[in-house]
Amino acid sequence: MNTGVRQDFESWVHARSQTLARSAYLLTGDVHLAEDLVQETLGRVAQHWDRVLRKGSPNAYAHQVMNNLAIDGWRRRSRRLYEVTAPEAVDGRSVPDSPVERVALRQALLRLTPKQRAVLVLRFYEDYTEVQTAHLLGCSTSTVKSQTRHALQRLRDLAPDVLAEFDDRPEVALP
Amino acid sequence: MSSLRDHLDDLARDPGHDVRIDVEAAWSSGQRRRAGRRMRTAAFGVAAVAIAATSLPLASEVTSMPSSADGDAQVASHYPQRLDYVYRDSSLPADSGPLAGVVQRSHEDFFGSWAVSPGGRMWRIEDVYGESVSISPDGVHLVYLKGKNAADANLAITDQTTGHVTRFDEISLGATDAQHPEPRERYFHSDQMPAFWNAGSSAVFLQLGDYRARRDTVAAGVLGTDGSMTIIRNSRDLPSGSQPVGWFSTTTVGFVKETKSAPRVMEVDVRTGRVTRTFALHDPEPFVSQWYASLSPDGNEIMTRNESEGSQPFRFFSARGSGAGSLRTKMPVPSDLSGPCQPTWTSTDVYLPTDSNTGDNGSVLYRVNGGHPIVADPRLGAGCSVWAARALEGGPERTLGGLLFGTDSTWLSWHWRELSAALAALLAVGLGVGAFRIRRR
Repeated sequence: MNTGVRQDFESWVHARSQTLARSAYLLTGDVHLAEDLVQETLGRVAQHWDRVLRKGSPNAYAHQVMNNLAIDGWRRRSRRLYEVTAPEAVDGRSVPDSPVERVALRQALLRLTPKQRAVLVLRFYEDYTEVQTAHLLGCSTSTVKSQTRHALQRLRDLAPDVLAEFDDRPEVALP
Repeated sequence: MSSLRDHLDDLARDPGHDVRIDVEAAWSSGQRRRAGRRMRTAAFGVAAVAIAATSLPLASEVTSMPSSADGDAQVASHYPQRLDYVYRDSSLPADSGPLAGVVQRSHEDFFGSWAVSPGGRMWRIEDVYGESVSISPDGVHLVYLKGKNAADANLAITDQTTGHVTRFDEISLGATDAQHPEPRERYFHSDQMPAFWNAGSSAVFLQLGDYRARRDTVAAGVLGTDGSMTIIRNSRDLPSGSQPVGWFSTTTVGFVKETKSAPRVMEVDVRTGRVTRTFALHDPEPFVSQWYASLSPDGNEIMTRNESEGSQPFRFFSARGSGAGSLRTKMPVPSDLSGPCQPTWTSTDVYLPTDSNTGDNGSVLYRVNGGHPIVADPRLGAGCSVWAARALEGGPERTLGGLLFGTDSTWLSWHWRELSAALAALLAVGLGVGAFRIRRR
């Protein structure tokens, strides 16, 4: 593996790190778990970097890996489990001035199944279409639709104040 | 907040900044994974190849590795140490190539003769009538009564390298029916009589009868692989009841005749049909088994056995020079001897067929000088067997089963192929599941 390839990887990571970190946080609800998830994802992307780069789709591959890891419960076998808790301390300090809505949404997200969270993140945060989401998660489009419907319904039930004004968005093409 | 995306973005923005990413560690981790994956792939590949190699006998019935003498393709140059169970029965091809032997199998579900390749593959000889199939020393030719039933069975010599069949239409089992009170063929050969091949595998010497003879009855015939037939008739020097025992030389054959005192041996010139030499065996037993009386390939020794009493040993007499007829040695009869069945002489040994159903060692062949060189799966029901001398002289074929188990007859030695196949199936499933999981990542 030559230096140029490694530099390509590093450049890509620097460009995408924030997006991946945020998605990881939404999937896990925990900064430390998000760090582990991003690190594991990047390791797997690095493992197949040649092939991924040839296909020209490192972003999609990274999301595919990250969501499948989260769904497969890669952390379930490890020492820490998902917990629905109050906003955690980050580097010893509390999350500053967390609005009530933010806490409610986080707790509602953590009550979804990993797959429902993954569907929501891909569809409504990463702006992937239903077809693209189905491809990334390795399931059918109808599964994506039903998972989306159930996830949104559950979010509305769990955080009615936050999502009261939210309606399902029409299909959005990948930018 | 007007959309879910805004909510999510607002939720993840600040914590996202706190997520620390170590690019160096990610790259190193990826490279370690890459190397590990390659190692695992290589290990899986080696394991798959190994298991496929061990499972191959299930499909091909034999696993044979290249042998040093395979260049001589027209001669059976090896014998199989192990006769594995036949999962898929198939008929003997006309051009199977040289064979190592012929095995009779007897079971409540099947009975018949199976040809055996030097690598241990077995084929059923479909059109053999009766029990007696004889194989030439080089393994190229078989001679037997060829036909589905007694009425249409004629003696035939097959060439297993070319597929050519030489039929002797004048020689049959002598079957008659209401429409044919006399056999249509002239000569009679029983399916329970042995045949003796010359050392060059070009002619076979066997007992015949003549339905139409009134005075000079026929004693035997010498049949060439080229279709030639030489009849040897009884005479005052070669009385009726003389039985063939083999070849003294390329042009002379031997007979033995039971007498009231001691058996007599006659050497007959095939070209003239005349007895050229006769001598008595110094044997107190006047009876000689038609199956076990036989000459060594060089004509120097004759072996006999009185089959009427089971405990009587094999006797080996000198057949040359002034000492012709003198007893040279005796050999006890193996307890699992298969009979009636012809022994096989090589240039150095005598081999006796044993019954794998009788003994507990799975043996189908006993070497007089010691050892059981060939074993058979008990499920085969292998009994009488005859073998090509060149195959036995060439030593065992290097097969995987032979390398692993030699001539063991343990349960594992006969079922390792099934176990290997099961392991291969498990490995395939494991590989499939592993591949599916990897694809998901």
